[in-house]
Amino acid sequence: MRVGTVQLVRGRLRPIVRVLVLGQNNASWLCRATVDTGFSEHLTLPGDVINYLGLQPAGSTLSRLANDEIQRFERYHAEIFFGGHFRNTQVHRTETESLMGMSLISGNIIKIDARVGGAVEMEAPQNPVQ
Amino acid sequence: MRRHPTHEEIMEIGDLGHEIYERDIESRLSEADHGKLIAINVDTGDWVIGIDGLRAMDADNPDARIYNVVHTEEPTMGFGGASFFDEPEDVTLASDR
Repeated sequence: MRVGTVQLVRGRLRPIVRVLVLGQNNASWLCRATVDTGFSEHLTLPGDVINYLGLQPAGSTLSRLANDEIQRFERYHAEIFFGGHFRNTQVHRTETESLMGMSLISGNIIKIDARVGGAVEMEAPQNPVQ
Repeated sequence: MRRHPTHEEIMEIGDLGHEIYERDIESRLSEADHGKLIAINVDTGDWVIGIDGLRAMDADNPDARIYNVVHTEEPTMGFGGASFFDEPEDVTLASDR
């Protein structure tokens, strides 16, 4: 199943997926998110979007960044629709474009046609890992 | 209650929104718009900046098909292999220094 497209963003090739985040009072946020295999969690959203959706806080976690600094990130509960399925997940607040991490794609096979306009596909594995 | 789009509709909205963003919007944004939220009505081509604009667009037409982009002048940050972890007792945050 195609879940996104490889796009040039500011001259850099990125695997971009589309995800719908559901909020309170019928608010929703359909956005693009870059698949980041170096991100161990689920999804990031800017603070304005989290406030708009009315997501409920779920504490915070720490992360050691590439420059070795440790930062705290606020975490929220969220329901999303991705790859044809609804699921409850967690969102971390960052003031950047959204990232989708390994926890959201865990257990699936991700195929990236790394050409501009190429497909990003996700499918459930048919066989166990050898 | 509002009907949520199907997976196929989400992909179509994403494709249309990306096309409009690249063709009509990105070149009209400035450095001052870095980090701002862009909401695009993919059927009319109308677009607004910021959550207040999105609220107004949504109020005008709750059934509008809207695609959202965070405008970035520079490539988005990545976590670059960083893992999240629970808070230990002896940690110094960058923000605490």
